[in-house]
Amino acid sequence: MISPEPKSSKINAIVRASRLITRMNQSRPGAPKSEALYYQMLANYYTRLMNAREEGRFVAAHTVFFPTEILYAMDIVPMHTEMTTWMMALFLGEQADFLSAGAELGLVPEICSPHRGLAGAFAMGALPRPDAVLWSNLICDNTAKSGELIMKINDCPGFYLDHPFGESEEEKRYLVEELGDMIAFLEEKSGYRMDWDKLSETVARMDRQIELFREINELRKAIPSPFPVEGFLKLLTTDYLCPGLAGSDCLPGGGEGRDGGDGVRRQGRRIPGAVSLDDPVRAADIPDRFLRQNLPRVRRGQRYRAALHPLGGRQARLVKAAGGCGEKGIPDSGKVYHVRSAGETDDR
Amino acid sequence: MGLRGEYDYLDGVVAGSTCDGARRLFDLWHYYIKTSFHHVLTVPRKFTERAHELYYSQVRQLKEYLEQFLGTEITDAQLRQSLALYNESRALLERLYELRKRDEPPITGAETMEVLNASFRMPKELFNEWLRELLDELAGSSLSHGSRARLMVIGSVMNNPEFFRSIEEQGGLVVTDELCTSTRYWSDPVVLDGAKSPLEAISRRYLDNFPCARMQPSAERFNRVLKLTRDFRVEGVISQIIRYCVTYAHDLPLLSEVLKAQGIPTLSLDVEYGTSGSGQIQTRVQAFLEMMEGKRK
Repeated sequence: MISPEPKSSKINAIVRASRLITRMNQSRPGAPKSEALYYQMLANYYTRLMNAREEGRFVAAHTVFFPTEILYAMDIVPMHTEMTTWMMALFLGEQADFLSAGAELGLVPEICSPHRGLAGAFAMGALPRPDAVLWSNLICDNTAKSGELIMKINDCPGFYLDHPFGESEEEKRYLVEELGDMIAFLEEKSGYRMDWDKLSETVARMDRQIELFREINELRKAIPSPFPVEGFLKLLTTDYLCPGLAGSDCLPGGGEGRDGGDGVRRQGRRIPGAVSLDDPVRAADIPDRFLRQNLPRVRRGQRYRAALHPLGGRQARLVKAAGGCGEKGIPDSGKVYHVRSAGETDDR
Repeated sequence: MGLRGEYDYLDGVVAGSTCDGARRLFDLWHYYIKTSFHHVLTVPRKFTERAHELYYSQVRQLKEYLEQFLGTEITDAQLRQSLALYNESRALLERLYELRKRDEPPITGAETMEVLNASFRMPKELFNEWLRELLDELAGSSLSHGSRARLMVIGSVMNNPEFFRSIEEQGGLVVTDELCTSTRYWSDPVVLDGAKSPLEAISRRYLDNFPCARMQPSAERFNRVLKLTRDFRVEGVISQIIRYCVTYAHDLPLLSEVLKAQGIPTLSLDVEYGTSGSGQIQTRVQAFLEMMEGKRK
């Protein structure tokens, strides 16, 4: 029933499709720039995943809403299992195949279709074989229970991150210690080390992304809305795949990775499909630019409540990376700050 | 029933963050029904010492909230008295299950479920007294139930004796079970030795108890299921997954493999909670029994 044998993945289908759509958007007069940026971001994310094994990089499969900032700070290549499975299913039209393969594993319809499909995709060898699986009860029972079967199918180790329900000090401490254990697990399995400075930078960028998400969401209140729902789903994908990333991190080879940064540039390698730093749209700007392109109007001086965690230092970074405690995300400290308006940002 | 006002007599509701279904039920309860006292505990999904510390803090907090709400102190002496009473229930139910290990047990699975239902609903003092009488009666009786196969029912919540009866009417005998309403309810006493307090002992027992499928790693549950199959000489397992009970559904492929490796086949039934045995279930149980008999030949 379950085969641990690695097979060739179909990840290149996403890469090919994303590149094609990027080129189409770039050549369409009047097409929103955000469209091209979005598909470039996808192409970069999946190119890095596609090339990871060949480059000897450590790949961690993870469930939705997982604190991937931690993986990026460790220079581990993340694979978002739900997004990757269903994007692949969409591009290849293999939804029924993945669900059938999930049913063959014995997964009954009580389990949500994204998780039946992703287990099926792993069993079919459509997804790359990860070096480790990370899963959590963020956000539901399906994510909490999907990890062990993925471990079994891929014959790889895994770590379950236990996320408490509430937001008491004891629960925050529990979450921080769980995250510490997860980092120790990843350091042991990958041989990589956590770069705490890089984590701080990533979390700070994530804060800024959240500001932009909130601002965009405010603008959606306008009638008619300046922003289609399709764009909102793309924002969600940006949040899933590139939380707190500078665009250069999307480059295969590491970007600001453990090789001291600019790995691709220093080696003079040009990965097909990856956005070159010489391109008109600079790779380093992609997530920020994508968000800003989706911010048609920004009201100067608009005030938002910051989601700053009361804990300090390393613990704060970890808790923020994990989305805080409980269902409300990062606890709101009540601190007020100004979102940078369009005039204050450097429009690249 | 809650929305219809049939629980208006309740002063409070306490729940654990056990699974999405339970947790969301109590979110809705809090929103629509607004019982005076309402509290949801965080229940970790691991068995680590850290998880025990967190859970103990949660149980301590619940006790404090209850004391504030009730305007009374819950003393250690009262807790010791209560846990002794509950431990006695557990020990008596364990004796009842011991009888089911016999070649031809004196009690069926359906009858056992009737006893368990009584244990949920009756005052514990009275239940213990009546169960002691039943155990004496069974020990001295010549009752015995032969069967085509010794079966075990696994899953989450199931307390309709008719479901078990419909299985047993086909010739199988349910000799043990692994349900929230059976083994998981009564197994594992509260152990005071070494605990800081009665409350800490209670907290430890409820986290270390025979695990629900929500707990990690699943091997803890699988190993205890396997032990039951050995102790009760189980020949086939019937997994009943009630609608939207996701955690047990996720465990099923892995657990079925573990059971298969021990030569124990699994029949998987998707059912609504509270259902009795439908014609479809009876047909599938019949086929399952025939398959087991066919393999013996």
